[in-house]
Amino acid sequence: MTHSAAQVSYLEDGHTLRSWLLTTDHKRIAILYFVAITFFFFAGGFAAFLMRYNLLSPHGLLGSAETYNRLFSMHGILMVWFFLVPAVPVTLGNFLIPLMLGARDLAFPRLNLLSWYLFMAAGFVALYAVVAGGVDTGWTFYTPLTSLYSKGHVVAAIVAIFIAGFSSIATGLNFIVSIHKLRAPGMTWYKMPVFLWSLYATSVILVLATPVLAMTLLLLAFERIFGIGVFDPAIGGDPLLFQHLFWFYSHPAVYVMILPGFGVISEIVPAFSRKELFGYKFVVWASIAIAVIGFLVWGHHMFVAGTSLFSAIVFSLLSYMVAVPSAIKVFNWIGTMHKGYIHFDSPMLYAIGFIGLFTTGGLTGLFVAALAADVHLTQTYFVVAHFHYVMVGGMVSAYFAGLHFWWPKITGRLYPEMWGRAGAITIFVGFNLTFFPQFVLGYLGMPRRYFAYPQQFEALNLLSSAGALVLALGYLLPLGYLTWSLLYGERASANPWGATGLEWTTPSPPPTENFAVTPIVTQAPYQYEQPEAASHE
Amino acid sequence: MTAIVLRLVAVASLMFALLAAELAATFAFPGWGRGGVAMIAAAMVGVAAFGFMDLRQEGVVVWLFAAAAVLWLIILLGLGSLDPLTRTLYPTVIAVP
Amino acid sequence: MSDAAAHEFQFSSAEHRRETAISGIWLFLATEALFFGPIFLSWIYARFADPNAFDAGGRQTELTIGVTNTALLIASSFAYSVGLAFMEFGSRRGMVLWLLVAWALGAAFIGLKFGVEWRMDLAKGLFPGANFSVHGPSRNGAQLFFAFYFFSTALHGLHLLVGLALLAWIIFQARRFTAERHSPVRVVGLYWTFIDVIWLILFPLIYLIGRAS
Repeated sequence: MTHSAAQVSYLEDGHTLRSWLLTTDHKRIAILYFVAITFFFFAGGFAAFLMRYNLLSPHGLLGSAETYNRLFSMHGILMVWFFLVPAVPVTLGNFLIPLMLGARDLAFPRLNLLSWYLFMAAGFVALYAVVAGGVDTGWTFYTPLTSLYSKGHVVAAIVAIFIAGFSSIATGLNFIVSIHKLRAPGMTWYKMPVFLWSLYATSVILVLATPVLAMTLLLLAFERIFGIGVFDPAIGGDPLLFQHLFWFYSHPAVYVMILPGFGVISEIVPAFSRKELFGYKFVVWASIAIAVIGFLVWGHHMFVAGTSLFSAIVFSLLSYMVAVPSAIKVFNWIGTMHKGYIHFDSPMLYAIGFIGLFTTGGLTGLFVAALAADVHLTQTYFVVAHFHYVMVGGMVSAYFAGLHFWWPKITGRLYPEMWGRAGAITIFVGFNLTFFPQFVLGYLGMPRRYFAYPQQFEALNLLSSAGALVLALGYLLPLGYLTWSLLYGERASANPWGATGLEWTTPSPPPTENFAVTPIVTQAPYQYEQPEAASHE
Repeated sequence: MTAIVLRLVAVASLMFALLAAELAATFAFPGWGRGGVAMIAAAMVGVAAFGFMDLRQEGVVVWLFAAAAVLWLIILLGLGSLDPLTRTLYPTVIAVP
Repeated sequence: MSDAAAHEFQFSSAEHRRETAISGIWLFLATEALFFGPIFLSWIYARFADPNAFDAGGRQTELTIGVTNTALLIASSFAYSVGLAFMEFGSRRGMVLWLLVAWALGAAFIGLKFGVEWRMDLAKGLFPGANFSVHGPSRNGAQLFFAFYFFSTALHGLHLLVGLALLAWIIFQARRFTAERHSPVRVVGLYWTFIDVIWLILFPLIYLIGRAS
């Protein structure tokens, strides 16, 4: 098994299709996931683009409210379950967790491959649901619309999400057990990079929240097929039970999307500030705190749904609590940059964009967590803007930051740096142009999910749609130059950024078994030296 | 070997005794009520986890996972039933065929 | 057999591999516990809507079969544990024998539950819908109860079927296990007992709470 003399890179270890489709190498599975995720990102993005096209005119340009309903449902379902939730864990996480642990693979490599096949099966069922005519329920599947009235392909969509859920559970389980059991000698919990802590916290949510969604969807499918069930108000069932169960998963799922992003940013900011991460223990415990407190706040999605006032007050107060660990992280990243020797390479540009956009998204979250303000703001574009600042401005920026940072390690090639910076800036500008007007629209009272709107909102909608065009261009740029770099990019050295972390001690791209000799960890992470300090020696 | 089987026999006997107690709480001693049934059921779950699944012998990691499952179920059931238990219900008329 | 063949290259020893497998199955069981969470919460909601009518539904169930099935599952978990103990002491024969007993008890549960009990329930017109046989003020609550009943027992039965398949696989693979290396037997055993544990919660929710006071 050991190729200690001449190590074969994982990309060169077998060229047949079979060597890819039956691989148990975590790095190859990450690549398989990259391809799938990218497809779903652009499919979901295309639906959003058509929505913004429709909203160019107050009367709607698509001509049918039904089409518009199906578009936003498709956008939500594809983006949430087939891009945002899996994105960082299954690609960067799969690739990096064993490398960062100093291990040769995840604990259960075959389970890892199985999770990819489940994901693909789910993806095909979802695409079938879309092609067959789609669903008009939105991504939230509220009853009794979904159980009794909707005419779309609800059961197919539910099956797709159910299967995708099991893919998530398999991934989360694999990560948690690997982090517990496969740490290299000397890699104590407090010597782990924050990326590992973040993915640990993410996996806790995946493993404990996803099964609740799976069962909830089964209950819904039962009710849709038999026309009767526990959510049916006609026999005393409670439609709000569905919302409680749905948000028990879907609110923590928001942290599934953003926590890996926190991990990525915590790796990049120290590397490009040439400084140790400020307040390491605060950052790691904030991740765990978010994973736990994130489970206590779901009721804030239901303030106007008819829940009891007492439970609404409890959930509102608990929702404020979850803002604390998020804020701790933002201060820690800024503290890391303070008096650092900052390099504005593309990963850092994306990371800085992330900090600004996530903070905006997080702070506007406090508005909607406030019971009284939420009554005015809920179901308006304010909410749409708020969660897109977190999920797109935050999470997608972090994904791109990580993708650029580890691209040389993953592919063994360097991407063109100037194009990378142009992409980061275009995305930042396009994003703000698209979504900032939506805060104003929502504050003025424009409801979400509407196909047409009053004349008075036209200017802001035009601005938002124009921004969407810039944003689309911003996303196509990396698709272009990153693909180009696969063929023509310069060969990358083992550690092009001069970063710390075990993954950078392996060649780029890494050999199949990662480490010829199991590394022994003696140092805390992020031991960067400031250039001034280095010159004194 | 004999010791282990004897222990398992003891565990199984305890389980059957608890099952009998559960039935007794339902039919013979109405005073124990639903709370009694619930407590006996919880005890049976505990006996199965420690007696048959050997939770006692496992390491910290397994304990952590088992505790997480219990804690998260408490969150789901506790916070989840907070709403109906404190809701103001207005009488509705549902036609009875 | 060399040590490298006893475990994959991400593990440092066969013992390391065993520990990892055991912690993996426990985490999976934590997932499963949360999987059944919504069923328990839906019971709370459904009963809360109209406790008397819901309990009236519960009294329509077949108590004798419910009690027998509970006893079968307890006995089955016991048999599996004894089988595991035999393997730990190197008796493959003893393990196979006791696992066959465990399998048969599990299969008996399935037979009673779906072959006899469900058939009786359906014959009595207890499947919720237009033909539901309970009338009067309890009708809605009783329907809610039976929506819960059929859903939860079907799902539990499905888990038991998976368990039966896994158990059969263990029995057919028995030659591969030794006193030192038999973690699959332990892993399947944990899952098998877990199905029992879920039933221990469902049993009072279905059969007893409606009859208790």
